[in-house]
Amino acid sequence: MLAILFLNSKKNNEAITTPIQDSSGCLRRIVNLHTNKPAIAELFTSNPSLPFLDYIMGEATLYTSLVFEKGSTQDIHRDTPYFWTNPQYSYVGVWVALEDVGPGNGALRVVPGGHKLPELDRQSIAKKFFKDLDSINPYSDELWCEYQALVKQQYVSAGLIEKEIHVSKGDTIIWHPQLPHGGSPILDDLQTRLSIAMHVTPPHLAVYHQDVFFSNKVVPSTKDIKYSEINNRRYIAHDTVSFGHVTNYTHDQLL
Amino acid sequence: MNLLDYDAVVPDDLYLDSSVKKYLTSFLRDGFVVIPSNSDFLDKVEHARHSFFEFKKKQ
Repeated sequence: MLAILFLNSKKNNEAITTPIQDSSGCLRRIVNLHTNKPAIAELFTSNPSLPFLDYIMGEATLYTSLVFEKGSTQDIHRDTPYFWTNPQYSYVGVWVALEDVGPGNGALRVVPGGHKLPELDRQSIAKKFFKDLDSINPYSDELWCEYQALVKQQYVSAGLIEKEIHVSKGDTIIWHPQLPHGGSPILDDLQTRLSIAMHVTPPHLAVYHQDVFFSNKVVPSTKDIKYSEINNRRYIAHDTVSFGHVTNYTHDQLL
Repeated sequence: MNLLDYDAVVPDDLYLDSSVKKYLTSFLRDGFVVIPSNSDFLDKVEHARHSFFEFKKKQ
Protein backbone atom coordinates (compact mmCIF):
# COMPACT_ATOMS: atom_id res chain seq x y z
CA MET A 1 0.00 0.00 0.00
CA LEU A 2 2.82 2.40 0.83
CA ALA A 3 4.47 1.72 -2.50
CA ILE A 4 1.20 2.38 -4.34
CA LEU A 5 0.81 5.64 -2.47
CA PHE A 6 4.36 6.57 -3.38
CA LEU A 7 3.90 5.77 -7.05
CA ASN A 8 0.48 7.36 -7.21
CA SER A 9 2.00 10.50 -5.79
CA LYS A 10 4.77 10.31 -8.38
CA LYS A 11 2.34 9.73 -11.26
CA ASN A 12 -0.28 12.26 -10.20
CA ASN A 13 2.34 14.93 -9.80
CA GLU A 14 4.21 14.15 -12.99
CA ALA A 15 4.41 17.77 -14.06
CA ILE A 16 6.05 18.63 -10.78
CA THR A 17 8.43 15.69 -10.49
CA THR A 18 9.62 15.11 -14.06
CA PRO A 19 12.30 17.84 -14.04
CA ILE A 20 14.09 16.31 -11.06
CA GLN A 21 13.90 12.65 -12.04
CA ASP A 22 17.24 11.06 -12.86
CA SER A 23 18.12 9.34 -16.13
CA SER A 24 16.40 6.12 -15.00
CA GLY A 25 13.18 7.91 -14.04
CA CYS A 26 13.77 7.71 -10.31
CA LEU A 27 13.25 10.40 -7.70
CA ARG A 28 16.22 10.83 -5.41
CA ARG A 29 14.89 12.95 -2.55
CA ILE A 30 11.31 13.75 -1.56
CA VAL A 31 11.18 15.94 1.54
CA ASN A 32 8.41 15.43 4.10
CA LEU A 33 6.18 13.17 2.03
CA HIS A 34 5.07 11.74 5.38
CA THR A 35 2.99 14.87 5.89
CA ASN A 36 1.03 14.22 2.69
CA LYS A 37 0.72 10.43 2.93
CA PRO A 38 -0.17 9.10 6.40
CA ALA A 39 0.90 5.59 5.33
CA ILE A 40 4.43 6.94 4.90
CA ALA A 41 4.24 8.49 8.37
CA GLU A 42 3.38 5.05 9.73
CA LEU A 43 6.90 3.90 8.91
CA PHE A 44 7.74 6.03 11.93
CA THR A 45 4.63 5.68 14.06
CA SER A 46 4.70 1.86 13.91
CA ASN A 47 8.47 1.42 13.79
CA PRO A 48 9.84 -1.38 15.98
CA SER A 49 12.66 0.88 17.16
CA LEU A 50 10.30 3.17 19.09
CA PRO A 51 10.87 1.59 22.55
CA PHE A 52 14.60 2.20 22.08
CA LEU A 53 14.08 5.73 20.76
CA ASP A 54 11.71 6.59 23.60
CA TYR A 55 14.25 5.29 26.11
CA ILE A 56 16.98 7.63 24.90
CA MET A 57 14.70 10.63 24.18
CA GLY A 58 11.79 10.38 26.57
CA GLU A 59 9.40 10.67 23.64
CA ALA A 60 10.56 10.34 20.04
CA THR A 61 8.78 12.54 17.48
CA LEU A 62 9.30 12.82 13.74
CA TYR A 63 10.82 16.14 12.70
CA THR A 64 11.43 15.74 8.94
CA SER A 65 11.83 12.92 6.41
CA LEU A 66 13.41 12.11 3.06
CA VAL A 67 12.10 9.41 0.71
CA PHE A 68 14.66 8.02 -1.74
CA GLU A 69 13.78 5.84 -4.69
CA LYS A 70 17.49 5.15 -5.20
CA GLY A 71 20.59 5.43 -3.04
CA SER A 72 21.63 8.96 -2.10
CA THR A 73 25.36 8.45 -2.93
CA GLN A 74 25.94 11.33 -0.55
CA ASP A 75 29.51 11.88 0.63
CA ILE A 76 30.40 10.85 4.18
CA HIS A 77 29.20 13.54 6.57
CA ARG A 78 27.99 14.32 10.05
CA ASP A 79 24.41 15.57 10.41
CA THR A 80 25.09 17.96 13.27
CA PRO A 81 25.68 21.16 11.23
CA TYR A 82 22.09 20.91 9.94
CA PHE A 83 20.52 19.32 13.01
CA TRP A 84 21.96 21.25 15.91
CA THR A 85 20.03 21.26 19.17
CA ASN A 86 20.20 22.55 22.71
CA PRO A 87 21.02 20.34 24.57
CA GLN A 88 23.48 19.09 21.99
CA TYR A 89 22.96 15.85 20.10
CA SER A 90 19.24 15.56 20.93
CA TYR A 91 18.56 14.12 17.52
CA VAL A 92 18.99 10.78 15.72
CA GLY A 93 18.70 9.61 12.14
CA VAL A 94 16.26 6.73 11.59
CA TRP A 95 16.35 4.97 8.24
CA VAL A 96 14.04 2.22 7.00
CA ALA A 97 14.78 -0.05 4.04
CA LEU A 98 11.75 -0.76 1.85
CA GLU A 99 13.90 -3.10 -0.22
CA ASP A 100 16.89 -5.31 0.53
CA VAL A 101 20.07 -3.26 0.47
CA GLY A 102 23.34 -4.88 -0.52
CA PRO A 103 26.41 -4.35 -2.67
CA GLY A 104 25.72 -2.06 -5.58
CA ASN A 105 22.44 -0.36 -4.75
CA GLY A 106 23.74 2.44 -2.57
CA ALA A 107 23.90 0.97 0.92
CA LEU A 108 24.37 3.24 3.90
CA ARG A 109 28.08 3.67 4.68
CA VAL A 110 29.19 4.48 8.23
CA VAL A 111 32.36 5.00 10.24
CA PRO A 112 31.87 2.92 13.41
CA GLY A 113 33.11 4.80 16.46
CA GLY A 114 33.36 8.07 14.55
CA HIS A 115 30.76 9.68 16.82
CA LYS A 116 33.19 9.54 19.75
CA LEU A 117 35.94 11.59 18.11
CA PRO A 118 36.34 15.06 19.66
CA GLU A 119 34.42 17.88 18.04
CA LEU A 120 36.49 20.10 15.76
CA ASP A 121 37.09 23.80 16.41
CA ARG A 122 33.91 24.98 14.73
CA GLN A 123 34.46 28.70 15.19
CA SER A 124 37.91 28.55 13.60
CA ILE A 125 36.47 26.69 10.63
CA ALA A 126 33.70 29.26 10.24
CA LYS A 127 36.18 32.18 10.39
CA LYS A 128 37.81 30.88 7.19
CA PHE A 129 34.64 31.91 5.39
CA PHE A 130 32.88 34.46 7.60
CA LYS A 131 34.67 37.26 9.47
CA ASP A 132 31.71 37.76 11.76
CA LEU A 133 30.29 34.68 13.48
CA ASP A 134 26.89 36.40 13.51
CA SER A 135 26.84 36.46 9.71
CA ILE A 136 27.28 32.73 9.01
CA ASN A 137 25.08 31.52 6.17
CA PRO A 138 23.03 28.66 7.64
CA TYR A 139 23.10 26.92 4.24
CA SER A 140 26.71 27.61 3.18
CA ASP A 141 27.97 24.80 0.93
CA GLU A 142 31.59 25.89 1.36
CA LEU A 143 31.37 25.72 5.13
CA TRP A 144 29.61 22.35 5.01
CA CYS A 145 32.23 20.85 2.68
CA GLU A 146 35.16 22.21 4.69
CA TYR A 147 33.80 20.80 7.94
CA GLN A 148 33.03 17.39 6.44
CA ALA A 149 36.47 17.22 4.81
CA LEU A 150 38.07 17.87 8.22
CA VAL A 151 35.85 15.22 9.80
CA LYS A 152 37.14 12.75 7.21
CA GLN A 153 40.74 13.73 7.92
CA GLN A 154 40.07 13.20 11.60
CA TYR A 155 38.64 9.70 11.36
CA VAL A 156 41.23 8.57 8.81
CA SER A 157 44.00 9.82 11.12
CA ALA A 158 42.37 7.95 13.99
CA GLY A 159 42.50 4.73 11.98
CA LEU A 160 38.73 4.38 11.73
CA ILE A 161 37.40 2.58 8.67
CA GLU A 162 34.24 3.09 6.61
CA LYS A 163 31.83 0.16 6.62
CA GLU A 164 28.94 -0.58 4.28
CA ILE A 165 25.75 -1.72 6.02
CA HIS A 166 23.73 -4.37 4.20
CA VAL A 167 20.21 -4.87 5.52
CA SER A 168 16.97 -6.60 4.67
CA LYS A 169 13.74 -4.86 3.81
CA GLY A 170 12.00 -3.68 6.93
CA ASP A 171 15.20 -3.24 8.89
CA THR A 172 15.77 0.08 10.60
CA ILE A 173 19.14 1.75 11.06
CA ILE A 174 19.53 4.41 13.75
CA TRP A 175 22.58 6.65 13.86
CA HIS A 176 24.03 9.20 16.25
CA PRO A 177 24.11 12.81 14.94
CA GLN A 178 27.92 12.82 15.17
CA LEU A 179 28.35 9.55 13.28
CA PRO A 180 30.07 10.08 9.92
CA HIS A 181 27.87 8.37 7.34
CA GLY A 182 26.85 8.59 3.69
CA GLY A 183 25.65 6.61 0.70
CA SER A 184 27.70 3.99 -1.10
CA PRO A 185 28.12 4.18 -4.89
CA ILE A 186 25.36 2.76 -7.08
CA LEU A 187 27.12 0.22 -9.27
CA ASP A 188 24.10 -0.60 -11.42
CA ASP A 189 22.06 2.48 -12.32
CA LEU A 190 18.96 0.33 -12.79
CA GLN A 191 18.99 -0.82 -9.16
CA THR A 192 16.55 0.98 -6.89
CA ARG A 193 16.80 1.39 -3.14
CA LEU A 194 13.40 2.57 -1.96
CA SER A 195 13.85 3.85 1.56
CA ILE A 196 13.00 6.61 3.98
CA ALA A 197 15.35 8.60 6.20
CA MET A 198 13.65 10.19 9.19
CA HIS A 199 15.02 12.86 11.50
CA VAL A 200 13.82 12.28 15.04
CA THR A 201 13.89 14.52 18.11
CA PRO A 202 12.11 14.89 21.45
CA PRO A 203 8.87 16.91 21.23
CA HIS A 204 9.03 20.67 20.67
CA LEU A 205 12.80 20.69 20.37
CA ALA A 206 14.14 23.55 18.25
CA VAL A 207 16.50 22.39 15.49
CA TYR A 208 19.16 24.81 14.26
CA HIS A 209 21.46 24.92 11.25
CA GLN A 210 25.02 25.92 10.45
CA ASP A 211 24.78 29.52 11.70
CA VAL A 212 24.22 28.23 15.23
CA PHE A 213 26.38 25.11 14.97
CA PHE A 214 29.50 26.99 13.91
CA SER A 215 29.04 30.09 16.07
CA ASN A 216 28.11 28.03 19.13
CA LYS A 217 25.71 30.79 20.19
CA VAL A 218 23.27 30.18 23.02
CA VAL A 219 19.81 29.43 21.68
CA PRO A 220 16.43 28.44 23.12
CA SER A 221 15.89 24.71 23.55
CA THR A 222 12.27 24.54 22.49
CA LYS A 223 9.69 26.15 20.24
CA ASP A 224 6.00 25.76 19.48
CA ILE A 225 5.45 22.99 16.95
CA LYS A 226 2.19 21.77 15.40
CA TYR A 227 1.97 17.98 15.39
CA SER A 228 -0.21 15.40 13.73
CA GLU A 229 -0.65 12.02 15.35
CA ILE A 230 -1.08 8.40 14.36
CA ASN A 231 -1.29 5.57 16.92
CA ASN A 232 -0.64 8.13 19.69
CA ARG A 233 2.70 8.98 18.07
CA ARG A 234 3.44 12.57 17.07
CA TYR A 235 5.00 13.81 13.86
CA ILE A 236 5.38 17.36 12.58
CA ALA A 237 2.64 18.44 10.20
CA HIS A 238 4.70 20.40 7.69
CA ASP A 239 2.72 22.56 5.28
CA THR A 240 4.70 21.59 2.19
CA VAL A 241 6.42 18.72 0.39
CA SER A 242 9.60 19.36 -1.59
CA PHE A 243 11.03 17.37 -4.47
CA GLY A 244 14.81 17.47 -4.37
CA HIS A 245 14.82 20.59 -2.17
CA VAL A 246 14.07 22.56 -5.35
CA THR A 247 10.59 23.90 -4.79
CA ASN A 248 8.03 23.51 -2.04
CA TYR A 249 4.51 22.37 -2.87
CA THR A 250 1.51 22.73 -0.60
CA HIS A 251 -0.71 19.73 -0.01
CA ASP A 252 -3.39 21.39 -2.15
CA GLN A 253 -0.96 21.50 -5.08
CA LEU A 254 -0.18 17.79 -4.75
CA LEU A 255 -2.90 15.49 -6.06
CA MET B 1 22.31 11.73 31.77
CA ASN B 2 22.01 12.53 28.07
CA LEU B 3 22.34 9.16 26.36
CA LEU B 4 23.31 10.94 23.16
CA ASP B 5 26.31 12.73 24.66
CA TYR B 6 29.96 11.75 24.15
CA ASP B 7 30.51 10.11 27.49
CA ALA B 8 27.18 8.28 27.72
CA VAL B 9 27.27 4.74 29.07
CA VAL B 10 24.61 2.07 29.35
CA PRO B 11 22.77 2.80 32.62
CA ASP B 12 22.88 0.31 35.43
CA ASP B 13 19.11 -0.11 35.29
CA LEU B 14 17.71 -3.40 36.56
CA TYR B 15 14.41 -2.72 34.83
CA LEU B 16 15.89 -1.88 31.43
CA ASP B 17 14.32 -4.07 28.74
CA SER B 18 16.92 -6.55 27.46
CA SER B 19 16.44 -5.65 23.80
CA VAL B 20 16.68 -1.93 24.54
CA LYS B 21 19.86 -2.60 26.51
CA LYS B 22 21.33 -4.60 23.62
CA TYR B 23 20.52 -1.85 21.09
CA LEU B 24 21.81 0.86 23.39
CA THR B 25 25.10 -1.00 23.90
CA SER B 26 25.68 -1.18 20.13
CA PHE B 27 24.54 2.39 19.57
CA LEU B 28 26.83 3.88 22.19
CA ARG B 29 29.81 1.78 21.07
CA ASP B 30 29.48 2.12 17.29
CA GLY B 31 27.31 5.21 16.81
CA PHE B 32 24.65 3.22 15.01
CA VAL B 33 22.46 0.17 15.46
CA VAL B 34 20.44 -2.03 13.11
CA ILE B 35 17.03 -2.97 14.47
CA PRO B 36 15.33 -5.87 12.69
CA SER B 37 11.76 -5.74 11.56
CA ASN B 38 9.01 -7.52 13.44
CA SER B 39 6.19 -9.44 11.80
CA ASP B 40 3.67 -6.58 11.87
CA PHE B 41 6.09 -4.04 10.50
CA LEU B 42 7.55 -6.44 7.96
CA ASP B 43 4.05 -7.19 6.66
CA LYS B 44 3.57 -3.50 5.91
CA VAL B 45 6.93 -3.12 4.25
CA GLU B 46 6.65 -6.40 2.34
CA HIS B 47 3.25 -5.38 1.07
CA ALA B 48 4.64 -1.99 0.09
CA ARG B 49 7.53 -3.56 -1.80
CA HIS B 50 5.31 -6.07 -3.59
CA SER B 51 2.84 -3.35 -4.54
CA PHE B 52 5.67 -1.12 -5.72
CA PHE B 53 6.96 -3.66 -8.25
CA GLU B 54 3.49 -4.84 -9.34
CA PHE B 55 2.49 -1.28 -9.99
CA LYS B 56 5.76 -0.59 -11.80
CA LYS B 57 5.24 -3.53 -14.15
CA LYS B 58 2.02 -1.96 -15.37
CA GLN B 59 3.62 1.32 -16.33
